[in-house]
Amino acid sequence: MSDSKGGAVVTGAARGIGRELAKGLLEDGFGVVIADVDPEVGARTVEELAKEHGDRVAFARTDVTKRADVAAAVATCRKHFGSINVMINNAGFNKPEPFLEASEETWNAILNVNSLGVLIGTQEAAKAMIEDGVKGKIINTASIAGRTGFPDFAPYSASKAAVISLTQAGARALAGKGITVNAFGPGVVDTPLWEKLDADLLAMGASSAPGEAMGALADQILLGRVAKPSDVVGTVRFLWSAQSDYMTGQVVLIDGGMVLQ
Amino acid sequence: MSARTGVLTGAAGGIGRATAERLVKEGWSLVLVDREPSIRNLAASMEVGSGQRVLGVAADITDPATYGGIDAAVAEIGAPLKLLALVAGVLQEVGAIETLAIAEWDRVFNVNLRANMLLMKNFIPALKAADGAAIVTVSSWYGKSGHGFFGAYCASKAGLISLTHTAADELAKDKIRVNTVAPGNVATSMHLDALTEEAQKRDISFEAMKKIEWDKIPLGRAADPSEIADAINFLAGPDSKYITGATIDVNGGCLFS
Repeated sequence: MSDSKGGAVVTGAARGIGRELAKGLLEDGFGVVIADVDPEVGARTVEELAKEHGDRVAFARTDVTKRADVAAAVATCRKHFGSINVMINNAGFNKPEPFLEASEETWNAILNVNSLGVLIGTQEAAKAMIEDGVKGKIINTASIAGRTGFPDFAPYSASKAAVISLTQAGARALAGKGITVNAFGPGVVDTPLWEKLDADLLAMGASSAPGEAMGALADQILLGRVAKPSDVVGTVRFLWSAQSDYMTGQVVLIDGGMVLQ
Repeated sequence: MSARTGVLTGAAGGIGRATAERLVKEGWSLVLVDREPSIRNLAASMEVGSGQRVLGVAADITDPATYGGIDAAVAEIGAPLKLLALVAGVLQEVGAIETLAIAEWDRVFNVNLRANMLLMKNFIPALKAADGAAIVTVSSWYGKSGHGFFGAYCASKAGLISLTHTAADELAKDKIRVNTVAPGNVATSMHLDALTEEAQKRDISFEAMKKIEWDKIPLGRAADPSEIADAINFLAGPDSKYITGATIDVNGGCLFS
């Protein structure tokens, strides 16, 4: 392909924000590896995206807490598309628990995927970029919860604050190689993660009707609505484009006006 | 995209000029505002597409009595006002708080903070009427952290970030998004003059002073003005439609916040 911009890996791309980002990258001419722990939904996503983008989209079954899986996803990207130019460490999950009941098990599971997964993803992508002499862009999915703690999401909030710290550490470590590391912080986005969260909060007794927890949060949003996954794409496109070449170590909040800072 | 007008202040300066070029490329009609009378020639020299217009207005943004010329230019273009890009700003004479002249503090605050509030006041009605608009301010990484000998500048830019948040809160219901770009060091005459002044103060060469400052930046260089223009354009356009009250830090990594 003459218009190819190289390759990209998006973790957690089978659904939600990751899937929209993969679509945006394909539209911009990148080859994209859908790296996801769910082979069934992942394969379906690849099949659907391939209708329009043919062999520019591939799947790699990836548990982001397993270094070998992540290295294999990066290898798939280099093999299919020549190089890895963009890495989006997006895989993440949340499990609400009241603050006093947040368990070690939940903490370990969330921190492993949301934080350790970002460290491993950044390392494996950067090693390949350095080897290939690619001035690549690493983009991490943070959250407004990384900027301000939520009582029912203590491990999640901590894991996303860690994503911001890893973004800053990675930016300092890799600037000399011409690799930038930035993060974006969504607010409340209408995705499977939030649907499950809304159901979990209802089951927990933190809300009394389906959609109530999400609606209560939406009331705090200046723009008056929760985000759609597509609302996030424009900003992340800015971060993977040459227009943000002078940005590194930064977090861009896409929250419709929730955390003004 | 249909016809739309933007007002851009500080348009003859480094960042302003780059922003004008970027926005014109995106199809905006513009009213370029600067205190320099040469702004009219700059506006006339810009290459525009069909249906696009760029007018230059010389005005002192600290004096609302001079805004009539800007209003008239917006009316002359005729397309809805969908962007207020507040780029104009001044640096201060480098100096400690202990010896800072009150007149200098007032001059810096008048341009960097008060004028931006006055411009918002003046243009909010037109922005509301446009049914979807953006205000973009240009603050600074010096507005997010204090730095010795820049007391007036840092405080004025911190105030501008706060004003941006307040405007975002007030105007979201009117479909006006308000955000700020916080540059780090930008290779404009304003930055290079500041390096020269600081070098003289420390009694070292310009190159030595430049190295001291640029070595603090992880990406190892100052920004090109066009890189700040790219961020302003992003906040003015549809890619940022869900962003309000935010700061885009285009600083090469010199400050993480």
